[in-house]
Amino acid sequence: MGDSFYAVAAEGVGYSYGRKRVLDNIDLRLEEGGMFCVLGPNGSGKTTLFKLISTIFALQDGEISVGGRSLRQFPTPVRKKIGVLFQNPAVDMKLTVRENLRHHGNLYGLDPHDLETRINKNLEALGVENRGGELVESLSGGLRRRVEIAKVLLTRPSILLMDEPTTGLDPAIRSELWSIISGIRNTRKLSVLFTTHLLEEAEPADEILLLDQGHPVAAGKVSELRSSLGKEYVRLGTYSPKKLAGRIRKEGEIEVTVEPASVKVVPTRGQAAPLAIRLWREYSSEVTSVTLCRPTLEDLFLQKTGRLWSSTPGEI
Amino acid sequence: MFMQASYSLALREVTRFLRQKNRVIGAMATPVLFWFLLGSGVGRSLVAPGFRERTDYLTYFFPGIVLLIILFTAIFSTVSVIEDRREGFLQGVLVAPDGRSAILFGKLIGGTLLAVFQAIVVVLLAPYSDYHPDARVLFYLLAIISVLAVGLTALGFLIAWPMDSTQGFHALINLFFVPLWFLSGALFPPAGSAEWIRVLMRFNPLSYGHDALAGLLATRPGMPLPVDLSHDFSIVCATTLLLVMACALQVSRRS
Repeated sequence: MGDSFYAVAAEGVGYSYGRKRVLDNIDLRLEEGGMFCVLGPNGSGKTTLFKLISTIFALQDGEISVGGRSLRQFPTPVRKKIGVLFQNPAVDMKLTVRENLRHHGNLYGLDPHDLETRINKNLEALGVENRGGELVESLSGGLRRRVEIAKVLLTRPSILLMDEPTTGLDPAIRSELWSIISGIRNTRKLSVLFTTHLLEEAEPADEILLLDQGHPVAAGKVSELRSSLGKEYVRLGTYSPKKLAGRIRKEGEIEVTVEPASVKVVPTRGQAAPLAIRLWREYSSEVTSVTLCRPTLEDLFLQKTGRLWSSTPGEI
Repeated sequence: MFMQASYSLALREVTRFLRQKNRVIGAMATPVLFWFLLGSGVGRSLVAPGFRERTDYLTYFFPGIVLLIILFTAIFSTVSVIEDRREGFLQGVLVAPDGRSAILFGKLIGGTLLAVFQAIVVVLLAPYSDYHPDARVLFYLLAIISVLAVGLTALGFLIAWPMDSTQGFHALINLFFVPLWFLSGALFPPAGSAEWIRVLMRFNPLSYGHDALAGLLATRPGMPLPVDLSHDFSIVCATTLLLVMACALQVSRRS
């Protein structure tokens, strides 16, 4: 594939569970030191793709290389390069924090003396140095995630793979987790590939791959994808979106889309800001809120699939 | 790396077992209670071919209880394969360089250690059943118990690996393992049984394990070892080897 300068490269990847095709023709490139997001609603196939890249599933169609090595031919050397953070914590609740880390180091054959030094360093870096002797089951969700990050980084991977890393965490802890990841990326050259169904989590990524029902629907830099969608627009909150949309449509020179509890109005001529003020004045009795919006990844999904992000089926 | 990983996984099994007090009590106390109540209840009521004349059932039943403890501990230690998968721990092991082979050997070593330890503790009660093993017999007992424990842990692993429900696993245990134990000679000797039962017992590898345990326990100090011992050992070892190979084949397959 000639992907030696890519941390992760996938080409033509497909996967089926029996007769059910859940991934088709997936390409992606994560540059060394970069951050790549596989974004998709529930049921888009991102966890299947993650399991292929992390070597849990065997490749069926296509090729994946990690650190320039083919995953099909060299799964063991690939495993030494990657650190994997799963959706569900892969820690043993009945072991202490320190025992979990020690166990992980032993799995990777780390020298016992070096291992203890690394454990101390990582616990301190993640702010859990005082929790080393506690059973993991006694820790909060946020602290468990920290322990898991400390564990994954013990082997000093050059590529970090994360599958929906913030699932089940409250917003404050989510934000804390991303700060930790960002801090780690600042101190060492770490390539990061992660999956998420949360649109806002994809924003800081260098590049994204947007999946829908196992198919790629868009790929590229977030800013470029956004600008390809066009200009700013106005979102009017309302209790009767259909009725309001019908009235606004008559004005002309605008595109109107009905949403579950709002109406999206895109000016075909002129700026969105003056339009927002005018609409607020004219329809104030029917409008509960006015928002001036830049095109989002949700809009990109709507444009590419014709469906709203929230109306997607269950996880594969 | 492989040995270090396997050792770590085995140590984890033992640590988890010791931290779950109910599991320790359940694994040890249930079979011993079973032995004591059934053995005392039946007492000297049974006279059948294969029983020594008016043999106390507590004595007859003792090797069967040692076998049951090995069976229970070894098989139930592999339930953790299903729990590990459900709780997410297993996937962390599977992405490690030697994760697949290490999880197999770690579980085998861990399950075997737990089963051997508990079986030996119960063997120490042998004098209460009129068995008096000397050091030589204890050495052979340790050997057969260890091989049986490896084989039964492998059998449990083989069944647990593709499963995702502990309830399903328990149902299968009741359907498959309990009859396997019944037909090992643990509860009744083959001599007085129906012909078809005798055939089943002859094809049950566990019968040879039970035969070796019973023969060794009945060996008094200074007596020669049972004549069937090497035959029993061979069958148990061969079955264990096959089971371990089947497990290795199974874990090497990525879904």
